[in-house]
Amino acid sequence: MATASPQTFAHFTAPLPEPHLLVSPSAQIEAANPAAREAFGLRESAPGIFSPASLIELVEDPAEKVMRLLRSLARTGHLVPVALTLRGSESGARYLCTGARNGGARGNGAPVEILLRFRLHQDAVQSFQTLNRQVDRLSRELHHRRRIEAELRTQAQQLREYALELEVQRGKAEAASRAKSEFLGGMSHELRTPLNAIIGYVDLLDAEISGPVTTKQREQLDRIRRGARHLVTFIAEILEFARMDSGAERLRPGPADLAAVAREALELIHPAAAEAGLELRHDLPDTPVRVHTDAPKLRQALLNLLSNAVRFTPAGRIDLALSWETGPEGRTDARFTIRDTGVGIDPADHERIFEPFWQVGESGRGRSGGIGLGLPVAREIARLLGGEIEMESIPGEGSAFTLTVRSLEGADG
Amino acid sequence: MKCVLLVEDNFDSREIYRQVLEHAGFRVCAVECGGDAIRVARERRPDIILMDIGLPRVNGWEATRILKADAATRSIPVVAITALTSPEDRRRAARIGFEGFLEKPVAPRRVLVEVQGRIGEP
Repeated sequence: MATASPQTFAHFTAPLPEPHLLVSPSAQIEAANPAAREAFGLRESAPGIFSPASLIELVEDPAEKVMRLLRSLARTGHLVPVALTLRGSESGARYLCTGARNGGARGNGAPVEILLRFRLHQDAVQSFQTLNRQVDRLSRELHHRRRIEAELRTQAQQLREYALELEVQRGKAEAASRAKSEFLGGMSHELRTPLNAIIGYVDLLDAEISGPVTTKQREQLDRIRRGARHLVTFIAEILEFARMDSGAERLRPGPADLAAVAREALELIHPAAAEAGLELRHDLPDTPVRVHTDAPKLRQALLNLLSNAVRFTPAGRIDLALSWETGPEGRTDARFTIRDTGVGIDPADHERIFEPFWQVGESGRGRSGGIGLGLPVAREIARLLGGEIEMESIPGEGSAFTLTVRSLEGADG
Repeated sequence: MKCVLLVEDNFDSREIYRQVLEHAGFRVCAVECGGDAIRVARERRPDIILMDIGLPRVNGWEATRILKADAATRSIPVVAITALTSPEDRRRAARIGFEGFLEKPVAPRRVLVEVQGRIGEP
């Protein structure tokens, strides 16, 4: 063992940067790694024969301190770090020495070797200081973290209170919205019944079911009818707007053919266009343009745009065109363009025409028949359908409204 | 002579549609509530029913549901003529089995066209 140990020692300590010594309980140096030889100026004249030969000669500390250290190590097998001051090449350097016992315990007479490891005292102090700083930082961090946690708990509590408050407010808002819808629904019903009588009797008179009618009387009947029709449009627009405004309108997307939707809207506007002496043209494909969207809402938006075109075009024609493109993922973007040869819109009014209850100039007001909700509703619908309404216009020449929609795949609900 | 059952509680609406239909040559039975509508439909087997929705006691929804559940009256076309106009009301009408849905105000000419379109000339 005594012969095997220095070899094992050399094997393990050779690559280590810190000085390591193997010594006997009497402080005799038995082996030293290269770092120790260099740091302590140790010379090995023959294998295992070192100069200086004893640890006591290597240090400035009293021999008694060294022997106490070694005895303590031999007895207990471990060592509380002890500061030693070296002679030799690094004279005056202070090291912290730790060690381990190799071999039998005290009293059984077995040979004992002691492994000593030296670290420059400064390094050790720095390590402690670093450690201290780390502990400080960690403790500060911990403190900080606790404060943040406390803050988060407070905020979470506040959020819960806000959520509760919002829930209450939402309930109130919904109740108010329901009340408004019910009120408007009731109003609509109440107005429609007498309007039905007015329009109905006018029609009966006009059809001469109750007797002959003079030309003059027929003109007057026409005026009554137009007045009543205006009121009907008014009620319909108010109701539609209230529905959109309350957010009660749910999208009901499904497979649809855009060309067919456009044709339906054209069919619905045809009587009004014919009555106004306007030409109605379209550029629609014969094959279906399949898009996932809410067809009735889209038709409503197109109808609103078309009926505006009819109302604000004294003479000429209205064109409806449809173009579309299908993206790489099979998603279709479509664009309807409604172009008229009407009065046009002043550039200053381009944004205001989308405001509820706003109407273009006095010239339009008399004959428009609307109440200024058609465009806001149409734009709201376009946005619900993933698109937008844009317009360009030259006063006196006409306007072009563009309604875009995109396929709403996966948006069913 | 073809028979139209007109279910309408409002006097003016009833008079207007009755006059235009009779003038065109149809026979018109007019009643004012859902209960009478069911009874008359079973007794007279009209060719078409024009049904208001907001009726006293048995309303138009309920009356039509009963008529559509009865094998004897199921095949008679029922057209709603109503001041209800919301999309929900239209969907409800479709679910119950109404064949048509006209929103008031409805011009008498329009009602005549609807009737002639569904059951032909008187």
